[in-house]
Amino acid sequence: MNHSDPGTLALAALGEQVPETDRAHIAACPVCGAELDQLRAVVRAGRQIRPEDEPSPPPARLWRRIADELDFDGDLSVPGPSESDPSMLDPSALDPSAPDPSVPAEEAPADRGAGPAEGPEGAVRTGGPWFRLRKSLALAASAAVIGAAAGVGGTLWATDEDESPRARVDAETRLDPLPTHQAAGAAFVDTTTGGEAGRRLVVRVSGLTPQPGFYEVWLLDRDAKNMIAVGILPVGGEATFDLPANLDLDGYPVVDVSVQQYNGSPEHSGNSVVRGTLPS
Amino acid sequence: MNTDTGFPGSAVLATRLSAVEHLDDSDVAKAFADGDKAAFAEVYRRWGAFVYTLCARTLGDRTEAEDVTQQVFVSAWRGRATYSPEAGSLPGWLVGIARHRVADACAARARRARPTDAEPVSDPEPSHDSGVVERVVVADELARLGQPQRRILQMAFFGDLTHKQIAERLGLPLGTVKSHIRRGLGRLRGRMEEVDDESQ
Repeated sequence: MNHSDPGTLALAALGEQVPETDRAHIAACPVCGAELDQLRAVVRAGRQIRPEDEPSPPPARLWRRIADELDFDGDLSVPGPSESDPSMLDPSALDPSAPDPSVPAEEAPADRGAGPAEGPEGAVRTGGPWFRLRKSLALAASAAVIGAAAGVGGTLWATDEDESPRARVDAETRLDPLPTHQAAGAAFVDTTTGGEAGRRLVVRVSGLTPQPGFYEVWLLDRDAKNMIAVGILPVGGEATFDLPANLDLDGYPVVDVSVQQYNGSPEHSGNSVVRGTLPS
Repeated sequence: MNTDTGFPGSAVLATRLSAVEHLDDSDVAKAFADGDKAAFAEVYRRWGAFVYTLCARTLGDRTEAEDVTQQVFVSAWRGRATYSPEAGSLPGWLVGIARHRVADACAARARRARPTDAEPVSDPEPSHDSGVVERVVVADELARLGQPQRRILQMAFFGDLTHKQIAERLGLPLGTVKSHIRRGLGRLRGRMEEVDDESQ
C-alpha cells in the first residue's frame, strides 16, 4: 500500500489511535517506522518540557557587555529584550475557555462559559508534576478570566458564599506571572464590613511551589520604589489582610508577591512571582 | 535570493530594529556571516534568550550562564567567517558553540573544585541529563510557532488532548487541527535535527 499519510503519522506519534491498516503498514514499513520514531522523539521531548526549559531572556546588561568586549561603537542599537513571547508563560494559552483571537466568535464552542471547576474531561493520560502544574494554571487562568468578566468577587471567591456575606469588591486585579514564574491569581480589596477601616486585601494565587523560604505580599507604588510589606502568603496561595485605615491605596496600587529567604532581611528580595495593579 | 548584495535591512537595522522583524532568519544569518554588526545585534535579539536558557539549564547557574552566553556571542562574532549558511542554521551553529563553552566552563569548575589535583579532569562534559538540550530546543521552537498552531501543540503535549478534543475546544475543523499538528511537529523536528547534526 501507499505510505501512511504524514498527518496520521503525527497523530500516531502523539499516541492517538490510527486506523488498523496504517498500524499494520507502519509496523512493516521501514520508512514510515523511522518517520514515526523521529516524531515520537519530538513528542517525548515536548511532553517533558519543564518551566525552566522555556526561553527566558538574559539580563538586559548582557548585550552591553558583549558589545563592550567586542569594542562596538556606541551607536549600535542595543537590542531590546528579545521578544520572548509571553504566551508560553501565559496560563490562558492552555485554557480552552480563554478567548482565542484566532477563533472567530461564532465558532466558539458552546461550553466556553463553563466554570473553572469543570476540568477538561478525559484529559489525563500521563503527567508528571509539571503537567499537573499546567493543569492547575489553566484552571486558575480560567477562573481569573471568568472572574474578570463576571466580577471577581462574585465568581472567583464564591466558594463560601452560603455562609459569609458576599465580598464587596472595591478594586480588583489579576495577578500575572513575572518572567520565569508560572503562578497566577487575582487580588481585590474587600469592603464588606463597610467604611475604610474595614478594608481587607484578599489575595489568591494558584501554582505556588514550596520554597526554602516563604511568599510575602507587598503593596508597591507605581515605580516599585516604595513598598509596604503586607504579610506572609501561605504556599496554598490564599490569604486575607486587614489594611490600615490611613493607607492610601492610590499611592500603593501594585500588589506583588515575592519569594523571601529566611535570612533575617526585612527587605523585598527582588524575586517577584506575580504582580498586578489595582485600579484607582 | 540574491547572495552577493549587502544586507537588505542593514541601514534600517542600525536605526530601528523593530522595522526588520519581518526579515527571514536566513537573511539575518547571512548578513551576520558577512560581518554586519546590526545583523549581529538582531541575531542576539532573536537567539539570545535561547542561548542563555540553554546555558542556564546545562550549567545550572544563571550567573555563570550569563558569562558563558557572553562568551558564545563573542565567539560567534569573532568566528563569523566560519559560519556557512549552506551548512546549517544559525541557531544550530550557536548550539555547537554553546556546547563547547559549557564544557569549558564545567572543566574550569572542576579545576577550581580540586586545585591540588594534578590529574586532568577525566570528564569535562557537563553532567546534566541528556535530554535537556532537546527540551530547551523544542520549548524554544514551540514558543516561535504562530497561533493557533502553538496552542494546539501545547494542548496536545501538556493537556494531553486528542486532536478531536482540541478541535471541539477551539471550534476548529478536525482537518485544520490535524494539519497544524503535522506541520508544527515537523518544525519542532527540524530544530531538533539541526542540533543533533551539530553535536556529531
